[in-house]
Amino acid sequence: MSWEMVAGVEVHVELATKTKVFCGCANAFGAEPNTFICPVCTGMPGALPTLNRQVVEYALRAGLALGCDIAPQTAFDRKNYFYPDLPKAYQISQLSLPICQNGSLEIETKQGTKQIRIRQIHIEEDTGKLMHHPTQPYTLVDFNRCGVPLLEIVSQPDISDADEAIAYLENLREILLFLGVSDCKMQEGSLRVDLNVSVRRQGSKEPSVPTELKNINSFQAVGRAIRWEAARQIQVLEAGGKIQRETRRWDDANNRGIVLRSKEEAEQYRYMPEPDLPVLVIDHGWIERVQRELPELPREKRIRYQKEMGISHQQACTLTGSPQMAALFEQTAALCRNPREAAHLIAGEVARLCTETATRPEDLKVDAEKLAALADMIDSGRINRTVGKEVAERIFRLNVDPETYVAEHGLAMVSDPNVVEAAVRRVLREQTKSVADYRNGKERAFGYLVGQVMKSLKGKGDPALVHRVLHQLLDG
Amino acid sequence: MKNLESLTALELGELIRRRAVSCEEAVRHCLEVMERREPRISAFLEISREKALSDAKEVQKRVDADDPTLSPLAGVPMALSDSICVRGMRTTGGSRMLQDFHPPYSATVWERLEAGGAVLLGKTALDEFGMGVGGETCAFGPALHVWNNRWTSEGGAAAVAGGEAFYALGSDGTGVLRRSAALAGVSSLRPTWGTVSRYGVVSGTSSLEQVGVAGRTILDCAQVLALIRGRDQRDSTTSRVEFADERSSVQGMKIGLPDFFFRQEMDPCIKETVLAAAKQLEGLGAVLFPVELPLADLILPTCFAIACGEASSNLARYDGIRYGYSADDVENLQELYIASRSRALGSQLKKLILLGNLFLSQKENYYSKALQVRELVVQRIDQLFDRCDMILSPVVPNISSSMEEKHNPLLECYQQSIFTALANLAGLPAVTVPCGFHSKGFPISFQLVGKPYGEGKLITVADAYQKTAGFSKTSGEVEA
Repeated sequence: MSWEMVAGVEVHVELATKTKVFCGCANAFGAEPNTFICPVCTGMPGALPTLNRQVVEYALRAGLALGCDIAPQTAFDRKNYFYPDLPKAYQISQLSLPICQNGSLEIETKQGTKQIRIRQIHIEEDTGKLMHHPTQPYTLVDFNRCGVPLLEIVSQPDISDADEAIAYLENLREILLFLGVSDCKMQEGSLRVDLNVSVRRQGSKEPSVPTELKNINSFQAVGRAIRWEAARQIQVLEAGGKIQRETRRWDDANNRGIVLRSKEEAEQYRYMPEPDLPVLVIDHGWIERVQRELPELPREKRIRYQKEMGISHQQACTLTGSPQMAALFEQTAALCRNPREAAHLIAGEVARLCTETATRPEDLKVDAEKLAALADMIDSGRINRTVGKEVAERIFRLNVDPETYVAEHGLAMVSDPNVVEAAVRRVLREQTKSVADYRNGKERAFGYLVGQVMKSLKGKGDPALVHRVLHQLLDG
Repeated sequence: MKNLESLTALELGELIRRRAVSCEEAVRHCLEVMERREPRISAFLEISREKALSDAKEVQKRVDADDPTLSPLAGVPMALSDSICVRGMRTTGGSRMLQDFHPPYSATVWERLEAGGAVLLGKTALDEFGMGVGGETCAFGPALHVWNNRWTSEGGAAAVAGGEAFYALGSDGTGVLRRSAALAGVSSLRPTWGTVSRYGVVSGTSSLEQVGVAGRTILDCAQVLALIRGRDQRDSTTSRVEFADERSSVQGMKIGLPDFFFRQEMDPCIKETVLAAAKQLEGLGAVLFPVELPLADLILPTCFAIACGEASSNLARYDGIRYGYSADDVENLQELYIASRSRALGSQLKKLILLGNLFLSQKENYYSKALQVRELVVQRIDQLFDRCDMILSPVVPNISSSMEEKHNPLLECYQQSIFTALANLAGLPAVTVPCGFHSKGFPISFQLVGKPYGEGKLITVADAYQKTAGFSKTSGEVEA
C-alpha cells in the first residue's frame, strides 16, 4: 500500500519596518555589530517594550491578503528560555491570542488549484546573532537583530508533496513582496522556513507523529528536505518502527536531517502573558482601512493584464516577477498607446537585462517615460522591433533619450519602397543559390533572404515591406 | 542651622520657595542626620553627598530665578530605592548580580521628579529585586528599623522614619514599602497599577508592582504622586485616565471592615489600635460597617504564585553575559549560567525563582490558574466597591521573627503579606497611616485600600485622620 505526505509549513518573515517591534532602534540588515541597540532590545533592567504600530499594520495587511480572521483583541506572551542571543531570556511572541487566524492560500498543482489553509499568523521579535570565533574558543553576540519584527505564518498540514510546498512558499513570498511588508530574502534570513512533516497510509486518517525540520536555506532545499524526511519516515514505519517527535536541522550539503532535540524538551517554554504590554484592541475601522488600502496582488494583476491588455500568460508572469517590475510595467503602459508594446519591452528586454546584469528588483531604475516613448516609436512604425531592442538596452544601461538616440544614430525605419526594392534586387542578384533553393520549394531560404535584405539595410528595414517586396520579386 | 527635623516635605518646600531655607541647608541638614543615624539603620546603599550638594546649588539657582517648572517639593532632599535607575549612578536592585551596574538611562519617575527640582540624597536598601517581606533579603545588608534595630526594614521607609530624607520612593511589588512604613510610623501610598511608569524601575513582579511613596504625611505622599503619575510613552501599561483628585469630605464616606481580615490571628494590640482608629474615623463622619471580602482565602496564594512566576521570568535575564555579575572561571555556556546565577543571587530569591518555574511549567500551570483567579477577584472586589468607598485593615498581622535578619522561613514571610497582598493582586491603590503605638513601643498603622484610581478618597480620609489624630509626624528620637 502506498503512502502520502502530510506536511505543514511555518514561515518566519522579518518585517521591513523602519524601526524594531518594541523599541525605536533602526531595523536594518548588515550594520556594524551592536550599533542598532538600546536598553530595551538588550534587555536591561527596567527597560520596557512598547509596540510599534507599523508592525501591527503589516500583520493586518498580510492577514487580510491571506483571508484571515483578525482578532478584535490580540495579546502578547513570553516564551521563556535561556540562550545568549536572547537578552531578556524570553521572546515576546503571541500564543493565546494571535492577531490573525483561519486564512488560506491558493496554489496551482498538477491536479488543479488547491487551497492550503493558514492556521495563524502571529507577531514576535527576532533574536540576536551568535558569531562563533573560527579558531578561538569563544562566541560573540550581535544584538542588532534583536527585536526586529517577525511574522510567523503557520499553515495547516494540507501539503501533500514537495511541489506543493514550493508552490505555497513561492505564492506566499510573492504576496508578501507585493504587500511591501518584507523583502523576503532567504539568503539574508528575512524569510525562514520550518517544515512539519508526517506521513500516512493512503486513505488513512491518522498521520504519523510529525517531525520538525529547520535551517532550510532555499525553496529547492525545501523540496529536498521534505522528500528526504517523508522517505525516512516511510522507511522507519515499514520496518515496524515508530517516529519520534523531534526537531531536525537540515544539512543540505549532505542531503540529510540531523536530530537537534526531542520535541518534548523543546516545549518547556513556560509561556506566560506578557505583563508589560496591554491587550491590543484592533478596532473595525483599522481593519477596514487596511483592507481598503490593500494593494492589487500579483495573481490579480496577471488576470487583469491578460484580460484587459491582451498580454500573454507568460509575459504577465514575468511582469509580476517583482513589485518593482510590475510597477514599471504599469507606469509605462499608462504612458504609451499600446500596453502590449510596453509588455514586449519589459517582459522581454528589461527582464533579460536584469538577469544579465544581476540587477536586484529594488535596484531596478528604468525611466518609464522613456520606455513609453520607445514603445510608441515601435507601435507607430518609426523604428522596427530589432532597433527597439537595441534602444531599450541603451535606456536600461545609459538612460538615453530614445528620440535623440534614434535620430543621432539614424535608426528610423526604412519604409521608402524604392530604397527597399533596390536592396531586394541587389540581394537577389548576389544570392543566386538561395533564390534557386526557394524556387525549388525550400521555404527556409525565404527567411535567409529576408535576413540578407535587413542586413543590407543595417537592420532598419520595415519588415512588412521587405516581406512584400521579396514576395513580389520572387513569386511575381 | 534652623531645625528642619519636624517639618513635612511640603512645609520644607514652602520655606525653600520663600527662601527662608536654602536648598543647600536642607541637604546639609539631611547629611548631618544621616551621619548620626546611618551607622545604626543603614537605610542607604549609597549616599551621593557631593551630587546632592551640587544639585542643591543648581536647584537654588532655579528657586532664585522663580523657575515656574519647579514643583512644590523643589529642593526638598529625598531618596530613591536602589531599584530605580538613575543614569550613570550605580543601581543594584539590592542584588549582588547588579553590584556594579550603572544604567545608561534614568527611570521616568526620577526624570519627572528631577525636572521639578528634586534633590537626591542617595539610593536606599531593598529586598533583593524587591522580593521579600521587610527588606531582609537585601544582598548588601538590610536597612534596620528606627524603633528597633533588630528588625529589618525597607530602606526608604527607614530613611524617612529616621529623619534622613523627607520622602522616599520604592517599588511596592509585594507590599514591603507599606509594611515597613507602617511599622516605622510614617505614611505610605501605593498607587493604582498603571498610574506610575515602571520604566527604568528594575522589574521584579511586573503586574503587581507600582512605585510607591513613603512620607511624613499622607499629603506629602500625595504631592509626590501628583509629580510622578501619568501616561509615559516608554511604559505602555501606564493609564491614559485623567486623574481627578476628589478631595471630598470624610462625612458619609463608606468604609468597609473586611470580616476575613479581622478574623485573622493577629497581635491583639495591633487589632485594638486599628479598631480604635476606625472608631475615630467614625467620629469624623465616616460610616463603618463590616463587609465580606470575596475569595478572601485565595488572595494571598494567588498573589504569591503570580509574584514567583513573574520574578522567575523577569530575573532570567541576569545570565552573566551582557552586564552584571559574570563568573570568569568557567569552561562553557552552561557553566557560565550556573556559576553566575548561583553565586550572585540570594538563597531566598532562588527559592522563589524555582517556585516560579514550577508555577509556569505547562504541566502544573499554577500561574495561569492564578491569573484566572485574579480576574475573579478583580470582578468581585469591584462589586464590593459598589457598597463601600474603601476598606480598612491593619497593615501587618504581628511582629514575626521574619522581621529579624537572617531568619526568614518562607511561609512566615508569606503570612506577613496577608493584608497588603490584595492591593498588589488587584492593582488597587492603598495608603497606610500611623495610628498609635504598640505596648512594646513601636508604631502601629492602618491601611485603606480603594477602588482603581480612588487615591483621592483614600488621601482625603487619611489626611483628615492625620490632622485630628496628631500622628502626622514621627516623634523622632525614639530609638531602641
